[in-house]
Order: sequence, then C-alpha cells, then structure tokens
Amino acid sequence: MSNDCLQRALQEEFIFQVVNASINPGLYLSRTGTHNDDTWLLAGDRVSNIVGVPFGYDNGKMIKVVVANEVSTTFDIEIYHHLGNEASLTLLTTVVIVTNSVQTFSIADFGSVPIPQDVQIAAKVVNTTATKPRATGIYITALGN
Amino acid sequence: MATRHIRNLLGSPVLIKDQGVTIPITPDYLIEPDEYQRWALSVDIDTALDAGDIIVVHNGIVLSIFDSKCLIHEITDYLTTEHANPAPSQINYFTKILRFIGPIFTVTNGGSGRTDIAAQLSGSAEGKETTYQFFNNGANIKDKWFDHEGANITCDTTPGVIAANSKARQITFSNVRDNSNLFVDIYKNGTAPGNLFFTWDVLAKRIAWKTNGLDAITFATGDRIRIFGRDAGGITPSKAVVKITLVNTDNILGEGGFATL
Repeated sequence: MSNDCLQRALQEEFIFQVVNASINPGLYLSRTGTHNDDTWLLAGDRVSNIVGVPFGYDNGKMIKVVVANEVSTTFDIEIYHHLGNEASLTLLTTVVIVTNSVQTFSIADFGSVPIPQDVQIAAKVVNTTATKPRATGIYITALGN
Repeated sequence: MATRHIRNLLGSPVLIKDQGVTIPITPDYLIEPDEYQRWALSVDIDTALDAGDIIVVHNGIVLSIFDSKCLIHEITDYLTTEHANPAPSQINYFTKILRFIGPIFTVTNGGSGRTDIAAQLSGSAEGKETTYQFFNNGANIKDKWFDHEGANITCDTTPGVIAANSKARQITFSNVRDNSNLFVDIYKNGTAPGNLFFTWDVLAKRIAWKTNGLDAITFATGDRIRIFGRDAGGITPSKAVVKITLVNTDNILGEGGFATL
C-alpha cells in the first residue's frame, strides 16, 4: 500500500471514528427544588440512582461536563455509573462548582474518565454550603463508538 | 400556598432511596409542589414513616403517620382510574382527605365518584367534631347513669342527642380518686341491655384516654347516647367526667326530632 493510500485510509478511519463518536447527544440530568447533600438528580422523571441515563457506547470517555443551577454557590457533583437501583454503583468523577451558577469542566479538570458500555449514568449533589443549589442541571458530553 | 415538609425524628440523616434524597437532621426537608406526584409513588417513605424515623409537616402542623401517608399518597392514588368509581364509604374517606389537604388539588367531574366528592366538598358539616360530656358528681360511682352536659338529670331520661352521622374519635375519663375501677358502658337508643354496644374498661386509673379500637362506635342522625358507670370492683371512682368526641362522617344537613324517647 502506498503512502498516499495509507494516509487516505487513515483519514477515512479518522473521519469514521469522529462521525461515530459525534452521534452521542450527551447525557442530561437535572432536578428542581433546593438540594441538600446527597440529593440525586433525575434522569427524566426518575431519580438517577434508581434509573440513570443509559449509556451504550463502546470505548466511552467523558470529555466535558457543564453544571448549572439557579444561584451562585459552591457545591460538588459526583457522577456515577450503575446497573440499575444502585447496583454496582461506581464513582466516575467529582466536579467542584465554586461560587458559580454555571461552570464547565473538561478533561483538563477531571482527567481521563472512561465509561463502561451498557451502564446507567447518575449524578448526586454533595458538599453543599450555606446557600443550597437550586434546580440543578448537568450536561455530560461523552465520546464512544 | 400550602407547604409540605419532612421532619427528621431519627437524629441522623434518613435516606429515602427511591426519591434520591437524604432527610437531614435539620432543617425540615421541603417537598416542592412539582415533586408531589413523584413522592406519591414512594415506597421508601412509608418504611421511614412506619419506623418513626420521619414525619410529614403540613403547613407547619405535624401530622400523624396515617395522615402523613394520606397526604403523600392517597389523593394521587384516588385520582388514578382504579378508583374512578369508589364506593360511598370511599367517597367519604377521600372527601375527608381532600378537605384536609385543601386547595392543592382540584376535583374534576371525571366520574360519578368524583362528582359526589365535588358535591360533598361544597358543604361543610363532614369532618367536624362534637364532644359530648357526661358527669357523675357522686362519691362512689358504681352502677350509675351519668348526667349529660351537667344537666343534673341522669342521661337515662335525658340522653345526649346525635345530630349527624358520626363515629367516635376519642374517649376520656377523669375522677378524683386514684387507682379507681369502672366499666364505662356506652348505650345507644335505649337503656335496655340490648342497647349497650360498647364498654371501655377503665381499671386502676384516675384519668384515662382511648383513641384506638373505636371503630365500632358509630351513630346515625337522631341516635341517643347514654353513659353508664358499671361497677368493676375495687376502688370506685368519685366525681367523674366522661367525654366522648364524635366526628361527622358525612355532609348531610337538616333538622328533626322525636316526640318520645
């Protein structure tokens, strides 16, 4: 195979991977109300520790997390995966929101976070301060094949 | 606007797993209205209520475990199709819950049961309480009729009159003598043995109360109630008061009477 062919093949494979990875629409969890410590966000209308957002991609990897809530305050969000009803509940990463109502985190913040295939993603508010977060939403972007 | 909180009684955080929350020791946990429907499906809250770990506070009032469950569950349960056509007794029950909860829910005329409930809600008699008081000022009370409302006329001739369909919610007893014994007999519509329909054993007490096991004490409009203090041996009571609180079980209004007992 010539170098040109090899380069073209690699480019096609790269484009194929990018296209495949880009179809992941992202994972969204949220909850209304004021959150005390250990409040699980909802995936749709179910609490995510019971039924989380399904994740079915192979070679999954978290690349960006955006957290928003009504008030500027400090708290953490722990992101987990499990197999339903907290079975095999495993912490993926923790993001620390510092005096903010919206904050974005990238791989530079949380490092490489692989996500197994066929799990449910859940998120929990922890380490709240005097001003409790309200109506929190978290948007997770993950790549996978 | 009505508020609904969960109060921690355990003294350590209480996990309500199927709601994804942990009830802190303080302050009370606020359930926001847009979360009511999901909380209504919670099983774990019943477990925590039954264990005495938490209690529901409605508009600042601490509820009983039963009322906590009613507030959290029953209305949503009723509004599902499985209760679209409840029996009359269920209508009374749910009407009471609806009135208790107040304007949070709107009753629509989606079925015959709901129509009946809406009609009942337009009235005001159901759920009201009336306390009937009976006295005996004697020094040794045994095998004596009590006076009704201090009339100084014993209730065998002047009974209490029940104005609405009702049932007992509580009975209390008090007298001036410690460790006294008395069978408190409740008669309905007569003084013959066949009219005795409930006996409360007050033994070795100076004061006593009872709120359980009263389901059998029901009255209809126009019924007459009498209290008889029957000898239970031992120390007899003296200067005794018996109070029985009835709660209306429907919303029927009207007037009537009888020419004789």
